[in-house]
Amino acid sequence: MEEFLQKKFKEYYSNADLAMPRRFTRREYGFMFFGKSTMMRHMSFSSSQKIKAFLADKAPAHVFYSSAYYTKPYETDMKDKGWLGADLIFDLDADHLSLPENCTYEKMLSIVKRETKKLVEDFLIRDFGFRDLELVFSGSRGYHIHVYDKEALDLGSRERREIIDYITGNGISLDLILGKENYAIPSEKESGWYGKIGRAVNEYADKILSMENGVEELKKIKGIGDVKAERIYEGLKKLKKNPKVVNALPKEFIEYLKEKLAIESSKGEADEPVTSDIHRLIRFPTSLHGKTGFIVKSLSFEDFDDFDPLQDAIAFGDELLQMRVLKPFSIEIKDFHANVKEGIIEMPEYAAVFACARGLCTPA
Amino acid sequence: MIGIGTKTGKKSTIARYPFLLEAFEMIKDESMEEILYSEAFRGSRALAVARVQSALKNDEKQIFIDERNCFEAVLSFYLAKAIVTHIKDNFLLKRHSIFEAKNAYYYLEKESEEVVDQVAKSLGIEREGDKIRFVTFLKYAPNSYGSWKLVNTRLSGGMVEIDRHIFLRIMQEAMRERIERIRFSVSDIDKAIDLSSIYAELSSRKIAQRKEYRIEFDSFPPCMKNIIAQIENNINVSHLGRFSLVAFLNGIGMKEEEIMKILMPTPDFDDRVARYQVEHITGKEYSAPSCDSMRTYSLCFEPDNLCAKIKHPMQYYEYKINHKDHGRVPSKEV
Ligand code: SF4
Repeated sequence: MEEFLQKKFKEYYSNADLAMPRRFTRREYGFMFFGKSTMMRHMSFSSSQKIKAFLADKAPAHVFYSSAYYTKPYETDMKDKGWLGADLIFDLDADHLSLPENCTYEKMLSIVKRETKKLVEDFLIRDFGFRDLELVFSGSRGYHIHVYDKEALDLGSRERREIIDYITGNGISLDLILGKENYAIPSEKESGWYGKIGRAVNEYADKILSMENGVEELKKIKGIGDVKAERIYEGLKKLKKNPKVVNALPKEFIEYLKEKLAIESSKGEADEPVTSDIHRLIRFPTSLHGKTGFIVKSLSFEDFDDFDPLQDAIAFGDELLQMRVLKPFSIEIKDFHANVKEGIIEMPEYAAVFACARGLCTPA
Repeated sequence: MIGIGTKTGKKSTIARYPFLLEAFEMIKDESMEEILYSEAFRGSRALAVARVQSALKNDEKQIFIDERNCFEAVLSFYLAKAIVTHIKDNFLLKRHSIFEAKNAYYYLEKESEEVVDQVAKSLGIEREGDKIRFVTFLKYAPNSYGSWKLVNTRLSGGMVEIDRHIFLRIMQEAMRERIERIRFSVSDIDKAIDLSSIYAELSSRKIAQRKEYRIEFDSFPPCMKNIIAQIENNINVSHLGRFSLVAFLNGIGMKEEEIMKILMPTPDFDDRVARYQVEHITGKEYSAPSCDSMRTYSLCFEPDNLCAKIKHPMQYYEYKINHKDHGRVPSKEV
């Protein structure tokens, strides 16, 4: 099985059009090989030919490079490497999202995509003003975003953590944003979380006011009875007319806003340790993911909406291969849709590689 | 290069921000020989020591700067920096840069927006209206709580909205960093300027910082042990000897009452006189003499290995208590 995968990966790397990372000679490379659990790290390459030759020769299962640039990327001790800066990386993976129960693969992909769009559009572009971004399909269940803006490269770990906190709403002070004694809802037009909360409350108001029985809906909130629901309803109406009114809404609603509505509805997602680690290794775009055989693929923002990894990240052809099934599985990949029982079956190469990489079958 | 001088023609404005290149220009052509030894620069040298002392004592006494003394002010800043560079102590380095940055902050508070922006620019910070880049905000925010936390700011297009107060605090941090990074050394500065009061103050601050505080007689330098032994044996101790001991004990944080107890057995002991002496010394914060002076007064006594590596009896004690647990004597760096 591993030999098969290695052979296929070798074929891919012998012909692949690899996209060299920026300043690739300054980066550290790391590899994992089929059948081995350790990572080979601290590699560096002086030319793109050498990287290509290495990949074609060794056909690793996983290929990584450092988000950081170093004067001596080959040194094994971090403090000897001479850190020069690092791309700012965001990792959005289905594994870290709270997904609904029994979530289908399709549904999962669309949730991750929605979160990725929100992260890029609402946070990285609108709030942080980044301009030089690369969006990459991780080869599995998520996306990576590489930010190359010059000012981002020098940021230390602490600063990167602040960026993640901003995105996830961690450490937000609603007393500061809404006011402590006298409450006011920020305007939708304001910057940062002020505007986000303003918009969230407005959307909520629109939803409630457009409902046939908005008051009933409000009563579902903990601690809200008939009287208060009426008051909130009136308050939301007032707010729509004049967003500046102070104390338009009862305290209970503000509590609800603070506890649930404000952050939940607007926060972004991204895996904290990936972003704050300034020595992180990240998958090499255009390499293959050893657990799926998919291409780690760089995507343009225009293509992103229509991108479907099960169609568009496939590296292998459709030549039919005989495979021995190790455990039954169902598969829907490109044009191959099947419920596979034990035994020997014939499937296209791309599906065979995927199933093999998942440990579901082996060449017959 | 900043334009404060050229625009307003006021050197005194520049002198309030001596860490800027333009201020350095004012003094860079002076002869070091003259600065160190000439009578004309005595005031600057004294001011330099005072600046370092104020940094250690955390007193926010501001130097009044006008057209007449601005040269002296700038020069004293660089001499102070040279003293700090010479002493090579991290605690002092930090204290000094915090102190000078705070000083500059107080001046900035009273400046016009134009001057504020010019100083900012020469620190590499640009303000656009009431906004700055979020990376600048992150880099120089003094902490990350409340309104200093990025998530609680108004951020859009990479710009954070700030008010004047926040901007000045950001600048203070940038100034602190700039000041800390300046390396200005002057050879033989310790010969030209008496640094003993600084050594004493520095050791005393570091001793006071220790979490577990108690007086450890074992760690006293031989000279002080000798003076105490003489007092205990009713041998008459010179006025200078007593002065040195009281200043030393005061420096390591001993209370007046405790100091009195040590002085008790002196034959000519007169409670009132002694109390007056002690209060006089402790109240004025006199510092004990340096080893050099101790030697001159014949108070240095059987110096040991550690003595060879220090310049002040306070340093002896400070090292001893800090290295006691490890049982090692510090290497050459002082
Ligand atoms: S060298 Fe200094 S500390 Fe040592 S005994 Fe002499 S005066 Fe005291």
